[in-house]
Amino acid sequence: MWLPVVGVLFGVLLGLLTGASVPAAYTAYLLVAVLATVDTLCGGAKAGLQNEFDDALFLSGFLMNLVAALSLTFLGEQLSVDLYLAAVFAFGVRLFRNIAIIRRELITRCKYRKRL
Amino acid sequence: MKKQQKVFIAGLCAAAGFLVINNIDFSSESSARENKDIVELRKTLEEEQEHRQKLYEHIREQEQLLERYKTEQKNSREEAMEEAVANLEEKAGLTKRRGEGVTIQLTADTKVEETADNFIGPEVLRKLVNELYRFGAKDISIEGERILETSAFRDIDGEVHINGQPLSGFPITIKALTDDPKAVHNQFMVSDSWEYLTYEQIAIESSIEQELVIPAYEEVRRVRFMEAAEED
Repeated sequence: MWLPVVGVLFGVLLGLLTGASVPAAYTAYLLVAVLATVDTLCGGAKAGLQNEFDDALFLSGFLMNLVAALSLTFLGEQLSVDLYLAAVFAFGVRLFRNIAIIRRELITRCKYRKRL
Repeated sequence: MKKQQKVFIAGLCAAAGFLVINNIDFSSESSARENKDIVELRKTLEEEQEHRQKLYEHIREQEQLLERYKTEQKNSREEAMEEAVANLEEKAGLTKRRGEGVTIQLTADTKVEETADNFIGPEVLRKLVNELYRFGAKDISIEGERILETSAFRDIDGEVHINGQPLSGFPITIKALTDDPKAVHNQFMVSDSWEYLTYEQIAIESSIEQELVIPAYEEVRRVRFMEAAEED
């Protein structure tokens, strides 16, 4: 349980120390990338709880989602249409569904333990 | 959970943290500053636009004024007529003219006593004036009398009269206004008049002047044998 927290801390620290900043023009890309990452994390957590975790699925899902979302954003910028919103919407919906599933799973597990 | 899974999760968490902190870092301080800048810029832009608007109005006003002046000037018949009159007066010799030219002074030869016989005749003066005109003189005056196309050179009782005014005698000063004084001067030196005057024992002095004043014709011009053409 502590490894994800360490990972997040490491990422934050890296970001702070490198002081890397993304130009304003790429804010949409960054946003989509963050959403894809969080979505994959939630998906991974859900799969882990349901004992369905698969490395290949996890990694390929993350990469494919990321590439698709970034491509959509790029296409949107070329067409001057906010196409990245499609990715944001899709990720957002799936994120909340996954969170709901994780919540139910955790609650079920808690109830199961109490019964034992 | 397998070790590999944990590593994947941790790596993704790190990536998420990195991206988020990047985004936060980017959107907190700098965007606030940018917003402030944008507000300031908008304000300046608005001010400048107002300034521009005022300048445009000013320019429009000035243009209208200019247009009005132009039309007024165009419409003003009086002004046009005055201009035409001034132009005609200048052409008719009713105005004073100044410029560069040649001054010719005729004096009796000191060796010869001045008599009525050797005084210059009107035909000689007429010939001289005609020659000067031919050499390129534009305006000529003899002893302060402006010579016009209608000027009369008359011999009245042994006295030469120009424009009805008698010539007092020697010396006689003739002034000729011209664009090329040197040419007039040189041509006069070899002219028939020069030869004739020398023959008549009259000393001639011709000099080029940078600033010459030809007086206006002071009499009233009488126009005969001429009628105003009526417009159809």
